[in-house]
Amino acid sequence: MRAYDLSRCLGEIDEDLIADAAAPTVIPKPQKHHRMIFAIGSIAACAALVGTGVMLTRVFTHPTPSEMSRDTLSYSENGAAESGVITGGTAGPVEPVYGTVSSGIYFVSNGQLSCRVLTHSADPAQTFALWKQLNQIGDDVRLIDVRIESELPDDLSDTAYSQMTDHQTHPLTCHLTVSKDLQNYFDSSDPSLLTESLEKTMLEGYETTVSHFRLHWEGE
Amino acid sequence: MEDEGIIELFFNRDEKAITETDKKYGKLCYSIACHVLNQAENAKECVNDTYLETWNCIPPHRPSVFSAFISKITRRIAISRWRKENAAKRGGGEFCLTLDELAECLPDRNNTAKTVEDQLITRVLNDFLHELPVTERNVFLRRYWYAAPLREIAVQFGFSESKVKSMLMRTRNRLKKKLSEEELI
Repeated sequence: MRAYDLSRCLGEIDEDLIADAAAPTVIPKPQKHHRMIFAIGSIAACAALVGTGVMLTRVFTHPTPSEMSRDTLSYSENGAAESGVITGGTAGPVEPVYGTVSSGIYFVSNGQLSCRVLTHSADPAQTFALWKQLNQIGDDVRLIDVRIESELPDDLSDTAYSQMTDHQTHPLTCHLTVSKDLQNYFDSSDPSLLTESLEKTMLEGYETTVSHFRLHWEGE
Repeated sequence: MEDEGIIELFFNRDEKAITETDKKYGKLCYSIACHVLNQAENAKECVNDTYLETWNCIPPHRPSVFSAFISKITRRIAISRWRKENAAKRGGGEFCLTLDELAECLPDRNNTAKTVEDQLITRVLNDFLHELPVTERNVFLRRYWYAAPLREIAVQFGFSESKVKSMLMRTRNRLKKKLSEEELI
């Protein structure tokens, strides 16, 4: 098989070339016309978030916690790999346009947590892909689902709710579901290190403040 | 631990060398094996075989770039295992796709002294890769050395998948021309 011969010979090339290609690549900054699209996208995404907030705090006049609807920004592996869907209130689904963020991508190196700041799309799928790349995690590990949820405790009284600031009324939690193959990459000496790097990366990778993180395994 | 320290551990026949290698390069090796074999269990065995072969090679060999050295071993073992498993049935794995794509560069020929030809091809490949712009070279190697899927390469370099495909096609055409100039095809 000639292709096999060529591939075998390719296996014997200079080691510096191999090492160069293994090093993670910094994503190039978007070109000027792309920046304009991203800027418009950022404004649109902010407007959508502000609109949702206004709807929840003003249009529904002083709702009780039990009446509050949840804001959900979700990513689904099937059918919406490149985009998320925001739903909430009565506004109906809105297609978000992701802006760019400069955030830390955390990775485990020599048994320690390291960080590299990269400029990238706020799309959680891309944040996850960059995290995989820096942690040298293969394509066998898949992102199944990402949800950002604003959750209020069920036993919150109306008085307590009215005394909360806007930020407190919308504590956001990132729920991330990944395939169980990720467990194959856990460091036997400290399995929590890799998940810690994922948590920090995902929390920093959003344009808005996300304060909590929950990791779920596929099928659970 | 630095690579030099790990190599010293191998030279001292200290079993900690395996632990340190696994800590630093375990994921890289697993990723390479997984891309070729497309199966987690086999990939893990392949990584263990890599450590054994590294243990047997060092000493006397002292690698100049340890990451590349261990990657080479992993790739070779993974491809060998892939060949055995696909002797009867062809299919599965990213490596299969990369072979199909590379087949465009070299038509079948069976009357050449393989060893000499292999050395020639490797030399030409080295020259060719050194002449390529860095991005094209790394995209080519991510695909055909590391057997990385197109989508993963696209994310890594911030390109669309179609751009990666066309970049690879152009590079393959240039390689074909180069091999032709060297009268290897």
